[in-house]
Amino acid sequence: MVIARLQSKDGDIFIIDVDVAKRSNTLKLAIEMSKIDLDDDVIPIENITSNVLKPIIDWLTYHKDDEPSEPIKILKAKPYYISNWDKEFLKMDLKLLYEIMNAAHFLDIKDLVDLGCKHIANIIKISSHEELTEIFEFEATPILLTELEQIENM
Amino acid sequence: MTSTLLSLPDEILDNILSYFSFDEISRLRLTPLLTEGSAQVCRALDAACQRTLNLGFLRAERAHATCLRSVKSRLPRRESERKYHHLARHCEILTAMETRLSLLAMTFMKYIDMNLCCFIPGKVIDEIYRVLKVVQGSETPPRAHEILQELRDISSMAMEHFDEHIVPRLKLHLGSKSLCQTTTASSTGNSETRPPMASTSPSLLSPGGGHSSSSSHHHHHHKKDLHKLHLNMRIQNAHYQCLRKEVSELTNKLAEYAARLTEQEGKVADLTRKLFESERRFSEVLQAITPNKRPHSPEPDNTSAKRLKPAQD
Repeated sequence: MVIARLQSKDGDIFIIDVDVAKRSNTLKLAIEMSKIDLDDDVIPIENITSNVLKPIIDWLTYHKDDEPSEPIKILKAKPYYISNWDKEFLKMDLKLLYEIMNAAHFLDIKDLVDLGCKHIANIIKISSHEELTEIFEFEATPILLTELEQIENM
Repeated sequence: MTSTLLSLPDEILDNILSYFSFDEISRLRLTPLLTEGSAQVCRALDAACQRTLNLGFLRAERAHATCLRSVKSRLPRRESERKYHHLARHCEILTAMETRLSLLAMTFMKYIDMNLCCFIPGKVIDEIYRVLKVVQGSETPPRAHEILQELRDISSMAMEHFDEHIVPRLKLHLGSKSLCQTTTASSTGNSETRPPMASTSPSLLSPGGGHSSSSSHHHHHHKKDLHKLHLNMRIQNAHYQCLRKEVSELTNKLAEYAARLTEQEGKVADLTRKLFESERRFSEVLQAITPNKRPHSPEPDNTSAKRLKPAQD
């Protein structure tokens, strides 16, 4: 098994299978395009901390044999099925989830970004207005009359 | 550092919103957040939803245009054949939808382009996609008036409501905005801290604010009639645009046929000329052959003489 060494912003080194690392398009490009000697060199990921990189590696390792999902043509109201393992994975603080989604966006791991999006969409759907304000820390500003009209007549 | 949902990149926010129907997005956009008893909204969430709704309508328009083009390209050119083609109903639905879409665009796009509002009725976008899905996925879709009933109803309601209730306020807002801008330009005071003028009650600003209740009711009634007339005028205008388009298409076809006819006529004239020429040549050859026949008449005698020679030997 060929391995790759990923170094987080904190300096921690994570050893993972190259095939697992290549599920991230950014890492795949870095491994294939730049002449990194996988036996000796580490791949520095300077904008991702260890507490974010670790769950990403866990998710990649678990999903290493998954087929990459096909893009959906009609984007509206996509179906969202989340597996049990992913449900367990998503049991985390929302702030950490945002960090993971942002890092997955940088590493170009589309399926992980999609998973986070599905989870957040689900939370928004089942939450009341008060809960939304609390969970997502929405900054509230007064409604204009034109907008009030729109709300009243919806 | 990402610490809130709205600090995520736009692509991720758009991805999250893609799990909602447009109707849900239009409701989520103005989710009234109850803070200390007064209704408030989240501006950043509103902006993300507005972007998705505007994009949704533009994409729906594009999807419709692509679908109509592909259906039209598969239909036969002859009107009589087209009538009984299995895609005739698809074409009928899509053409009727075209009028609806242009009406919606005429109502909303002007204000969307001015950044005054977004494509508010998300339900209409959902319905457009639903109809397109039926048209694309079904061999025999329902009749145009059946399948478009809901779209016609909700889009008419949305346009009427927009014209009657939202446009006057938007105009007021626009007026106050330009007024604010002119006062900012003339005075040195900071006008940005002022509350928006649109939040002022319109009755205070409208000239008819001090009228009696009966006259205001009368005025309101007239206004309603005027809006209906306005809407009707728009529908007629859209029909007129469609007809104009058809006429221009037919004129183009006519010009094409006329060009073809001229070409054919040229070819016929050319062939006639050639035929005439060949006939003339033929008659010349015939004439040339006919007088030659007589002096040649003794020849067979010669040959017969030649033939007779060996016999004589």
